[in-house]
Amino acid sequence: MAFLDNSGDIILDAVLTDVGRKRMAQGQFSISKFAIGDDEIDYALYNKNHPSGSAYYDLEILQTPILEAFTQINANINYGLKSYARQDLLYLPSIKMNNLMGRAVQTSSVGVTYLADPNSFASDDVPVTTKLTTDLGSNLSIMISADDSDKILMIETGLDSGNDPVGSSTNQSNFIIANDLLENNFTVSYNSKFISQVRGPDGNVDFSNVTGTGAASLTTGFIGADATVSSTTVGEFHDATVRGVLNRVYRSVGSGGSDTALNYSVMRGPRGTFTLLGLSINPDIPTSDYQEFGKTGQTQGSGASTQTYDYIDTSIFVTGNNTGVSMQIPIRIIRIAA
Amino acid sequence: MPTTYETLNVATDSTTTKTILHEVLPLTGTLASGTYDSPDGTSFNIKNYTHGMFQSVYDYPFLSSSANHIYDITIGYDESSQFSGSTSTQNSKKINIYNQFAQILLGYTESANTVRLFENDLTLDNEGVMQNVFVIPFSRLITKDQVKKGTFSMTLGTGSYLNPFNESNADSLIKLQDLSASDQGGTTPTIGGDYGILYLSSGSAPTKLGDNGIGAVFYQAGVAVVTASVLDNIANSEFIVNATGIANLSQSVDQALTGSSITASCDALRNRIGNITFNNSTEINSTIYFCRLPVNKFNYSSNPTYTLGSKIRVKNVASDLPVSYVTTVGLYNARNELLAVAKLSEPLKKTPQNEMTLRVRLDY
Repeated sequence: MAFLDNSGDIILDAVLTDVGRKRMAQGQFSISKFAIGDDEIDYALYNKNHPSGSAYYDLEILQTPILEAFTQINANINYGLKSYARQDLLYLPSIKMNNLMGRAVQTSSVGVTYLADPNSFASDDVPVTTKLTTDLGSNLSIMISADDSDKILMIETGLDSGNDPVGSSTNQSNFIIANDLLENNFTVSYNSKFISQVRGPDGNVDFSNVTGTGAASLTTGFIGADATVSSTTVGEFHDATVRGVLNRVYRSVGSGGSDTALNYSVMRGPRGTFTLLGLSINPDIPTSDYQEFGKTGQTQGSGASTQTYDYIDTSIFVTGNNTGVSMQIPIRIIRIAA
Repeated sequence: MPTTYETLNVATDSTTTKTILHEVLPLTGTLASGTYDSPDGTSFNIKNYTHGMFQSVYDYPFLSSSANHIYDITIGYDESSQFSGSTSTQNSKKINIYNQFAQILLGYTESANTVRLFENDLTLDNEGVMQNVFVIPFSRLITKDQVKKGTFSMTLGTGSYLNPFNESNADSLIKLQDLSASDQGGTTPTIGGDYGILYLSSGSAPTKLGDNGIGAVFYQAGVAVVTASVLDNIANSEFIVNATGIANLSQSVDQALTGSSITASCDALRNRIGNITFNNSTEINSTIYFCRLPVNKFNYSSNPTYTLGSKIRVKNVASDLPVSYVTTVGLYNARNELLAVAKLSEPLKKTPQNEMTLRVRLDY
């Protein structure tokens, strides 16, 4: 994969993808729509303060060399250009993992979230979660496979804009809902070789202010994800669709003058929706997969014990189906060393 | 994963075209000479087979995975040929070779249902038949869809065996060209495709030497057929000299047809093949998709760098125009599967003040 020659006329380098060739072989090659990508562009290079004026704002962006097209489906358009009816939007939603709520799992110091196998026990019959809690110093970053009663993944979308605009109900209506920036569904892409099920929020889920206290509460409830299908964007992955629930945590200024909502929500401006994710480890992962795709006999955390573990690092991708806002969450599937 | 798609209307947003591409193929005599040795000396670019019915010429020692098959060489005669006889070496194989090519390229006569014979004209009237022929089938890798009519040229050396391309004698080099053939005519359609006649030619602006052809070239099949008599008048009648295992041997073409193997005759012919040149043709069928980006669409991006703290980087205030940059066009099916992708050589700026149509061509 080389750069395209950009010294002369603008050219288009087009190729069929692997899937395109496969569909052609099956007699099912039918192009019906197109999307536009800008994956190579780093918008941080847009210099609104360029001393030579506005003609130079995007000088560096326009000089970005473009790579040749290639045939894998998962690295050509990961994000894509968007169309919104209004051309005067100043803010677009962000997506973040909530690490403030007690039920929300956090990212560990090594940048992963643990997904522990509850059927894995140490030689002294202590479960892996207990051993891991000891080694990591807490259970803040440990999810238990197929157990939604403990830590869960909590994802929030909204404007992470600080106090301008503030996270009020009015601003949620004006900046999010009125501009059609609400995520009613999320697509969760996961490697079905290692993860067998994704669960999302059921109809009882709620995340809202507790009246009169300045606090916020989270009501959880899970249901199996809808429409798990082979991923169209990541090879060997599956896509699950989960609900997005309106985030009803709003700015709440207490006696100290600070917004206490920020103690519960990671969005610092108007909030959109949130979702909850529960994961189950594929029960049929053989030891050879831990050896091939992961590591075996490893200690974790500070090594408070001499316990060793087998683990596989994978990722899930969470994408808002409306705005395309997306994030990647590294997951470490872990068990007691075999 | 993009979430904004624009529908392509097959009737209005796509079209199909056909383009014919031509390549010039200069096949130099150094390939045919067979002196292309592999570094370890274990293989050459000429491949012989135990059945001995033809030779293959490669562009590199054929045991190498880098080698490409260029063409084959064989020789054959019809059973009505004066050289056909039970005492002739590989008699049945030479007849088989002739019949195989004749029946595939020319088919059968309508009356007696016998195989047509190669002729030195375009009429297929059993006049001017070529009963004894050299056959050179070219690899599809070389000819692609077909040989371009009117471009075939082959030179043969007619000097002595040791000096077939005697530069001191202008007559020792003959040139065969399909001078009368063109895309507009000068060919005859047969079941094996169109064929044109190879004539002896001379001059930089080539002209025919005589009205009779001395071979035929089948354009779609990529096969050249040359009458063996074209080498009747080589110096000293030295077509084969000292073939492998036979000392002090010197055979004319006629003698080789009866007294030598196909392989030996192929070796001898390769010794005299100079350059072969032609243009090949490749038919490219294309579908062009016109991806229209209207003024009010694709002006924002879900690229993670597009915002900083949810604020769009390319704007200072809400009234500033949104800006995005196009680098890639993805073509999808109804299931959102990416079937084809096109990349621009440089980013294109998209704002609500401009619209663009990106013309994506897929070749088949």
